[in-house]
Amino acid sequence: MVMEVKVKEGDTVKTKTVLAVMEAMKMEQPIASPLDGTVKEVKVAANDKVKAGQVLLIVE
Amino acid sequence: MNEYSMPRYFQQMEKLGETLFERDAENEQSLKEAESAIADQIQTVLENGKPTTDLNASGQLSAMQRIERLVDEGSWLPLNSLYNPQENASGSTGIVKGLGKIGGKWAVIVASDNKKLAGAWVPGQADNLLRASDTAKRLRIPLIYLLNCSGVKFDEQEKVYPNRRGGGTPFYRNAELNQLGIPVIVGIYGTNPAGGGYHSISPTIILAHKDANMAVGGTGIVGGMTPNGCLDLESAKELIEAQKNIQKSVPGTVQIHHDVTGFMREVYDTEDALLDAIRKYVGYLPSYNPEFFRVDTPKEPAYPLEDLYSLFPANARRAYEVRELIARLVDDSVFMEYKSGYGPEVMTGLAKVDGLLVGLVTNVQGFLLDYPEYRKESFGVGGKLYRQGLIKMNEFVALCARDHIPMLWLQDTSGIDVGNEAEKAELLGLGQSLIYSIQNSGLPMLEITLRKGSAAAHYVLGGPQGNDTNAFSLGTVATEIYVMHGETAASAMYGRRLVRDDAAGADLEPTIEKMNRMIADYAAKSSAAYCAKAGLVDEVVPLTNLRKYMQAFVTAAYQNPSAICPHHQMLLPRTILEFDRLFRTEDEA
Repeated sequence: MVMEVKVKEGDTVKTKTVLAVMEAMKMEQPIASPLDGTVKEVKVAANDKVKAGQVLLIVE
Repeated sequence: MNEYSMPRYFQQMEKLGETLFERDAENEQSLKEAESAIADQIQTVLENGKPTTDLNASGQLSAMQRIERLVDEGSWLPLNSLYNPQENASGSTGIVKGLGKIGGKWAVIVASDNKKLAGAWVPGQADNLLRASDTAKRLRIPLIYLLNCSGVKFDEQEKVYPNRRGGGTPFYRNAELNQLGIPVIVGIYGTNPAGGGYHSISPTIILAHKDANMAVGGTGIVGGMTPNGCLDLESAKELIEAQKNIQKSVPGTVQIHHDVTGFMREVYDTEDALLDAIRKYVGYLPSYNPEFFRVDTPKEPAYPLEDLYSLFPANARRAYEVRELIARLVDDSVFMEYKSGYGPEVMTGLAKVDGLLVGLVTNVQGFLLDYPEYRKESFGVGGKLYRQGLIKMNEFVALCARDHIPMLWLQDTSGIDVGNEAEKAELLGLGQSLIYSIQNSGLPMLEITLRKGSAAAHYVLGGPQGNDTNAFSLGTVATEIYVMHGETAASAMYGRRLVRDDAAGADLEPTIEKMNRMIADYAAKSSAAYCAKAGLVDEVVPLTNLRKYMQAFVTAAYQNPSAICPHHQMLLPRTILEFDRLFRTEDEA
C-alpha cells in the first residue's frame, strides 16, 4: 500500500530524495529517487494498493 | 610499523556507505531523548543508598571510585547497570559490573556496591555474578572482584541463598574458571562473612585491605546459634550480652587470614595500594599483543558515528540501509561480504575492528522483490528470515568456527517466515541448525539487538540463550524483545473469541478492551528499559558507544584465545573470493 506520496509533478528532486513511502506487512519502505531530475508523473496516491513491479512515479 | 599477512584479502575489502544525505533532526531528537532518560536512570541507580561523601568520611571509597582508580582511563564499559529482575528497592542487584582495561588488558570487573546495604547479596545478584563469569569464560579474560560484601540480606534469604543458579553458583563458577586457566583475582575490603567469605576464598589470588575480614560466619551468628523456636524477653537479654562480647572479636581478620592461614597473599594499608596490587597481579597474566593477530592497521570508520542518529530509525516499522550503519561501526568502513546476493535478507561477512578480523551477521531491512524463491508471486520483507539466509548463516558460522574468527551479530528481526511453504522450505529445521552451528562453533560472540528481537529469530541470530558462546548482549533505546508483536499475540489469543461473539451477536467491546490491554502490556514489557531491568540485554548503549563495546569485545576475544587459525590457512576469505568470481556480476562488484 502507498502510505504517502511526498512529491508532486514538476518537483525537482535529487538522488536519494524520498519520493514516496510504501507499507507492506507492517513495515514501511521509503522509495528514494535513483537520480537527480524532475517528477514527470505521479501515478499513485496515498492508500492506493499496488503490486510489486508497478510504476509509482516517473522521474526524468 | 608492522606488515600484515594476506593483504590482497584483508586490505582490499570493499568500501561501504556514503556521506550522509540529510540529517533527520526529528529521529535524532527522539533517540537522544530516550538515551538521556536511560543515562539518568543509570545515574540514579548508582547514586542510590549511602552518599559517597559519607563513605569517604568513614575512610572508604565507593564501588565506582574503586573501579575508576583500578582501570585504565576511559576504558570502563558498564554491563547490567539497570539489571534488577526482582525489583529491589535500590534499583540494583548490589554490584557494579563491567569491562575495563587494567594495564592494557581487558578484564571483567565486579565491585560490591558498598553504598547499598554494605554490599549485601540481594535478589538477582547471583545471576548478575554468573553473567560476569560467563563473559570472562567466553572471552578468556580475568575476572576481578572488588569485594565488600556483608553477606546475604537476611529477610530475603530464600531468593538469594539457594537454587541451581543461586548464591552458591558463583563459587562453583570461580572453581570452573580456575579449571579453565582463567584467573580470578579478588581485592577484599570491609566485612565479608558467610556468602562474602566464600566470595573471598573462591578466587585464585586473595589480596586484602588491612581492615578487611572474611569468615565462614559473621559476628551476628557466632554467638547466637541456639534455636528455641522463638524469642522471649529473657532470651533477648541473653542475646544482648552475647552480642556485646562478640563485637569485640570479629572473625577472620587479616591477623588470622594473612598472618596465620596465609589465605590472603598480600595486605595493604590503603585502598589505593590494594588497587595497585591488583594491577600488579593482572600484569603477571598472559595476553597477546593484539598486533600478533592483526590483519591491518587499526582505523576509525570513514564516516562519523553521529550519523547513526539520522540513519537508524527509532520507529521500528521504518526500513533503513544497514550497510550505512555498518559503515559507521567498522574500521575504515570496509567489508568483505560472504555470498553477496544469496540470502539477501541477511548480510554476512568479514569486517575489521581495531585491525582484527570479526565475522559479522546482520539483518537487511526493506522489501526484497522476487524473494524468497519458494514463494510464487510474492516478495520478502527484510528483518524476516528465509531459507537462503538461514543456510548462508549456517555456512558462515561454520567457516568462522573453522577459521577461529569471533562473531558479532547485529539483530533487527521480526521472525522466521511462516506458513506451509516455509515449512516445506525446511525453515524450522534450518533455524535449529543455526543454533547447532553456533553451539558447535565454540566461538565468543557479541549480540546487539539493534531494534527488534522477535520469535525464534532472536535465538538463532546469536541470541543470549547461546550460553556457551554469547559473551554478552547489548541493546539500544530502540530495542524491543518479545515472542511476537503485541497485536499479533492479541489476535492469536482473542481472534476466535471475536469470531464467536460476532456470530452470536454479542458485544465485542469487552474483548477489544482486553486485546488493547494485552497490546499495551506487551509494549511495556518489551521496551529497552524493561529489557535492561530483566536482563534480556546486558546494557542499553547509546548509538555512539556501540563501537566502543565492539572494540572491547573483539580485542578481548583476541587477548588470550584458546585456539588460533593462521591467516594464510583461513578458508573463509578464499570462499568469499571464489563465490564472487563465479557468481557476482561486474555491476554488483
